[in-house]
Amino acid sequence: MEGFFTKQQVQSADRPDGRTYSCASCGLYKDAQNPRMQAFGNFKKGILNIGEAPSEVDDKRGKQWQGRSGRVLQQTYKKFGVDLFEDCLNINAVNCRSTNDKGGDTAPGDYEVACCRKRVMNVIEKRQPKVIILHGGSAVQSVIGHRWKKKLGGISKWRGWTIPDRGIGVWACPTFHPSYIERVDAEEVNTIWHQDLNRAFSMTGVPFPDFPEEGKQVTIVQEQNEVLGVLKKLNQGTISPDPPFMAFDIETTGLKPHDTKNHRIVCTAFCDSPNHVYVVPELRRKSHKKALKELLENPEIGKIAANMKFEDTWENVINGITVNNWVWDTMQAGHVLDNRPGITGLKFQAYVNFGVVDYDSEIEKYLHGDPKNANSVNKIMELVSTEEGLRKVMTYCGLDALFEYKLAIKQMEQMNVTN
Amino acid sequence: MKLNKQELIKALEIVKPGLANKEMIEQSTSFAFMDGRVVTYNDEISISHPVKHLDITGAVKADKLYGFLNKVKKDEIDFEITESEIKLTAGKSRAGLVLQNEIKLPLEELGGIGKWKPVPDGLAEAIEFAVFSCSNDMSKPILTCVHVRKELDRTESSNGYRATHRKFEGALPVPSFLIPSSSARALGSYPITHIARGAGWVHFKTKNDTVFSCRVFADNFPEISHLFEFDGDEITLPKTIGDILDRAGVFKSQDRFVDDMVEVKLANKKITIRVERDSDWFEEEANIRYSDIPISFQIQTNFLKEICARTQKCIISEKMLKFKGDNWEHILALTASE
Repeated sequence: MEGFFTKQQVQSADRPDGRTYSCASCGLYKDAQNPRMQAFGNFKKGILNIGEAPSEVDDKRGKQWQGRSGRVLQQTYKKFGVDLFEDCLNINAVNCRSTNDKGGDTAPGDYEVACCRKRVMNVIEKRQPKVIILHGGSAVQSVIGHRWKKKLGGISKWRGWTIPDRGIGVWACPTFHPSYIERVDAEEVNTIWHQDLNRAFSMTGVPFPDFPEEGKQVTIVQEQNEVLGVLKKLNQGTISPDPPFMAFDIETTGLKPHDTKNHRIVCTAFCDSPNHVYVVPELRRKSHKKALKELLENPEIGKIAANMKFEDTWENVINGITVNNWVWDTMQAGHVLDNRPGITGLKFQAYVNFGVVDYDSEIEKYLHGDPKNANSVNKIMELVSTEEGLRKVMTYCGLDALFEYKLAIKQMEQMNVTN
Repeated sequence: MKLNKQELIKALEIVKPGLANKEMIEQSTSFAFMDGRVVTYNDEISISHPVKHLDITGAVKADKLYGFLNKVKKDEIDFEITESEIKLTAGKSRAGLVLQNEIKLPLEELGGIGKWKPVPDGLAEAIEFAVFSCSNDMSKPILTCVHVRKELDRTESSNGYRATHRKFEGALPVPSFLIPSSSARALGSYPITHIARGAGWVHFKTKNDTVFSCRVFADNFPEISHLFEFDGDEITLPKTIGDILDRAGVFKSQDRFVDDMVEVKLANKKITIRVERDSDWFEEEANIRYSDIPISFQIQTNFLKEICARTQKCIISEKMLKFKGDNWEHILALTASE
């Protein structure tokens, strides 16, 4: 049974898993010379640097970036005309020194980061930086980790993106921690780091985008009588731009469709512009299937998907449709643009490009079947058995198609592909 | 110095809910004595209460001190403080408890208490009343709290499938807050008279000068008012329903993770309570003034019992059930219907 509230409504930003994250439970303050180190810097260019934790020297002096890695950072910033303490505000993911058994500096754990998160978030909220540079994995964990419900992954995955993070209303730019640059001392890493920083600094001049509320751009067509009209309208080419593109996305009962007795396409979303998407339920009438076939086989309309082999196979096996004129797969394009592992998925791309985190969390658990059997049936039918559940699935499907469309257009621009 | 045992035990019992089960935080399983008060702190709750005639500063293991005081028969206890020990003498019994002179409880976490303001009448009752609709599911942290709502002079709670609100008399003198149900439950036994809001904490004071502080969630509680607005038929459950549910309770699961649900059917002027567990079952019928379309639903046994102790009247619609009292309402989403 669906409850009264959405998952987002009952999540706590303050205490994500209900536990108390406090200085008392962290305990690092007890051994620090300068516990709960305050943010420092004159912040003239609106840049907020978030580091890992105070080093021994930082702790002694009561200020961030006083040690060797701080010097590296200061010198590097200077090359870009940025003064670390005049132009920036500085804070750490954990603001008390974290030590190992021998009394040396050590990276804080996720728990310590969680305990200090409120302090970091308060600084972001009160000072409203233009750009946040996240130096290293702890900083990413601090600012993004609690909202990113999937596996966070390492800094290599996150570095280099300039994320328009809607949750905090700031450009979030992760990169390596200067101590890593100093430690590996490799030219290629140093070059990448410089590129990341340059990109981050350039964002100080870019206003934060005014994003629309995508949920309102999803039109759910539940009345069977209206479905035909929508499919025909899409097929008859009110679609822009020229040449017309259409992203489409399906929600299904599993990964592979070949067990046709048990598998179904639960809903399909069609996005023909960056600000509108239609979602239709499972098509059962012959006339609907015919219209769908005409639309998907229409050679005039370029098809877009994320992982197009999925949509292609399901349409082929379930509806007997051979999708014509595939023009873009955001997953493949994502890989061509950046070949790091773990970055081509739509959810990651939607976050790093459009700042949206976690729009799938209410649905995601229903999408998994038996992990050892790719032909197994997932739990989506359980969800769509209620009106509210069906609405959630269709909205999610619509958002997928919408982000696929927007992402494809952005990728085409990045790759200088117009036709 | 000599102290009245019962008075001291009473003071310790007042602050005991502020003790931690495990000492994750230094001294959180100890009674700390300072400034003429005994203090406990477990990072969720901190309680302090005055202790007369015990002028010491330091922390003592709570289980040892409380246990000793409870076991000795003499009413008067002699306290002798040395540099690192409290020596207790009660008749022929003597005990030495380690006294940590330095208070290491992170009481600075509490921040400033601010200005005390009188609580509206019925606030404590309204908070306690709302606890039973709170969720225990930590994946929905906000629903594990009671929402003390200033604009509507009421407390609210919901576990996502049922919801409660109850009015208190008068205006809340601090902004709305979310108090975790575990803290709200503990607060229920304190006769609070004053309230103050700190940063991340809410503080309560009693007429005996006990200060009960608990952390609050800095989140927004979802709007629930609209959930209570629906029409339906009013029915009166039989007075014997509590007894029937007692009998049904015999068949409850031994597995504490399984919800003990009873099936309730309303049809042909009869209410039928049925429970099935493994191969055993129980069923009992009673008369009821209801002859509309047959309705059946499942509901937690204890919950129905609790609510029926307050009222037997309810409003039933296709999807919801509502119980209503003078200053409270409770709704429940029906899990199944025919």
